[in-house]
Amino acid sequence: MSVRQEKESSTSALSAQEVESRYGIDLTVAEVLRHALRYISLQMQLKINAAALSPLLSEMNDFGIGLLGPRDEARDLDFDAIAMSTGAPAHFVINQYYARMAIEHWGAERFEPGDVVIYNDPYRGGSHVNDVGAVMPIFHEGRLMGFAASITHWLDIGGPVPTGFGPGLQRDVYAEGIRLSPRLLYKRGELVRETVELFTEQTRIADISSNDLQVVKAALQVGADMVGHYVDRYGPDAYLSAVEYTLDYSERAVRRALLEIPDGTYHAEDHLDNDSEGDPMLLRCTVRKFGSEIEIDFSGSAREDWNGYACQWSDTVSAAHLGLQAILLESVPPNAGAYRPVHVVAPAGSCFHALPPMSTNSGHLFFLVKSTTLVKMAISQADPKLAVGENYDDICILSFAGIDTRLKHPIPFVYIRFPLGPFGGSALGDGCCYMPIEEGNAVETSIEFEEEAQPLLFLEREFVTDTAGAGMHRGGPATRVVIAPLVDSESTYQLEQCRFPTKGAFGGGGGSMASILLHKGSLARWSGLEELAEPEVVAGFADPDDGAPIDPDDARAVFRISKLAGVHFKAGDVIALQVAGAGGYGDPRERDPEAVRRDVRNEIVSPAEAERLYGADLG
Amino acid sequence: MLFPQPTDLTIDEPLEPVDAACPECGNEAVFKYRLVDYRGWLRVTKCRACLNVLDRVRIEPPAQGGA
Repeated sequence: MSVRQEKESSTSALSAQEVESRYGIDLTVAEVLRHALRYISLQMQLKINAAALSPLLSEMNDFGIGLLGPRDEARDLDFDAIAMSTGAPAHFVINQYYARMAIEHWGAERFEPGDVVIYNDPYRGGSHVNDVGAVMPIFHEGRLMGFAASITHWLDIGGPVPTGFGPGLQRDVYAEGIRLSPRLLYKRGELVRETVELFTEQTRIADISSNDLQVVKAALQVGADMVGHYVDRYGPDAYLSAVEYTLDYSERAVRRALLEIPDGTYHAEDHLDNDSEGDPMLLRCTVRKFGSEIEIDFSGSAREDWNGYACQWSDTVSAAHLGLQAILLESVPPNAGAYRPVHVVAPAGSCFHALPPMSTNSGHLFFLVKSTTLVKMAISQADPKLAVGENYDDICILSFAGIDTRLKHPIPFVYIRFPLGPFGGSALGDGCCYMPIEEGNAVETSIEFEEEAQPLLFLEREFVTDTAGAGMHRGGPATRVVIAPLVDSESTYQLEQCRFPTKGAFGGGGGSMASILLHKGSLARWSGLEELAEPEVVAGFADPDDGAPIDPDDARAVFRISKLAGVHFKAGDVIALQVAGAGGYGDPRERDPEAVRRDVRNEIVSPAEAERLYGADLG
Repeated sequence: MLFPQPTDLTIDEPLEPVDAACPECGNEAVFKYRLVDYRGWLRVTKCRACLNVLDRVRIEPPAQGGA
């Protein structure tokens, strides 16, 4: 039997006898420990949720936390991710590189019980400087059993731009904020003051940092303690055998799913709205699938560009895995075993593989999402039942920072919002209307919380009629969020699909484009129940004479860049951010008439468009 | 400028042709190139038709902090 045949025959579930003979443990122990690893990760996540001060951690789940195995050649273990929580998936796969490279840089043999090593250099297998990695060794009677590992998104990491996202302002990595090679945060359980001071003295969130660094340690300790409990109960060899079993379990599941995808080579092409000069960036992906193996290749994509228009190779690889996982019909427990069948080609010097010292802080979000979408678009061509219309294709950002001068004692504030958006229609049904992107799985913070905590007022958050891509199963509609800063603020915005509409699949139509509009000084008008001032385009297509919105097909239309930092808004300005509508799936004329009537009732589709796109007779 | 941007507008992973047919499928689309597997970077000799890996060598990532 060839290696390939062995792999493909290994996708079926193991019998109890096979588990016993292969791993030396019985099936019950293997399954108890497989689930326990996942459970431990969830407990670690809850610790962060419960104790962190940063809303990105306590509210949004913008972090990943879980367990790594040890290095054990005989068991084919190499600091592999063995279980991850349900936080942001963008922080799952990347631990295969980020944590491993940190452990190797620090030296696995140097770790002592109670140590925590912290790092945030994106050029060491990471994502961007705001994603702070940490590992704590797990020892049992002096034997290294693995690590507890986390990646937490820090609300601010210093540097010239509040929140860290500085498209157009951060030319290179040196302008992004503090960048730490792996170093001790805790030494044998004792906090290392000098490391904490890097955060308290060089970021804009000293109090949050001081607390949350200790929360990270506490959550890692939960993981280490709980693993210790199971190792005490079952013994270290049974534990490690169960780790092997857990990884192989996920590998079998992914290979089984890959066998369902027709063999072939599939291509996808997309664009980022703009590079640093305002020109579109070409993005390409080729997926080669044969048997239970898959290769995802980003060759032919645009070169890296300064000012944040590139991302780390590790981000691209992570996103490629997520794109594949997202399109498989069965969910697979996320661990290194699930990643074994996948190869990724990320050409050095392309926007998907930045070379130092390119800035990647903003590009982390642009290209993380785009590479996931490209994989989905490519595999969509393989089989109609896997196809999906394009989603809003973005991790959008709108941030505000400044001094809250409304207070008796004015204090600085840093706020960032990640508006969610719609997903594309698929063979299974209509696209969701308001979801985080696959990489996020994050919870949007409540408007009431944000209005209480920040000098902001939310005037509106509504679905927008006639923005969903038409189809037998339509895409989700766009959402419009209208915000007014109550004090003068410096802002960053990053919004995608302002230049190109989202794409439908298998005859489905595209969704609407995104935009940001500014109604200057209109909060007072809104309070007086008057119409807002005429809008000026911040991001999207504008009339060159007065900045008003204009039809993109108008020859006079100019595109205003959709990612920029250092933008100033005045107290009382009203900013309307609208994400893209998502693409539809299948011929709209095949849509269930009752579903069209429901969309009209819900104001997702206007009566006129229902007739034009769906041929609906509304009586 | 201290660090130049690539001059090519789009970037391809360089493929080095290998004068051999794939032992699995017989196809001659065998190349040597770099890719990332679940543990990091590899230089592989691989068939682009059936994805059979004829040879693999683990290599350092092309870009690293401090490098």
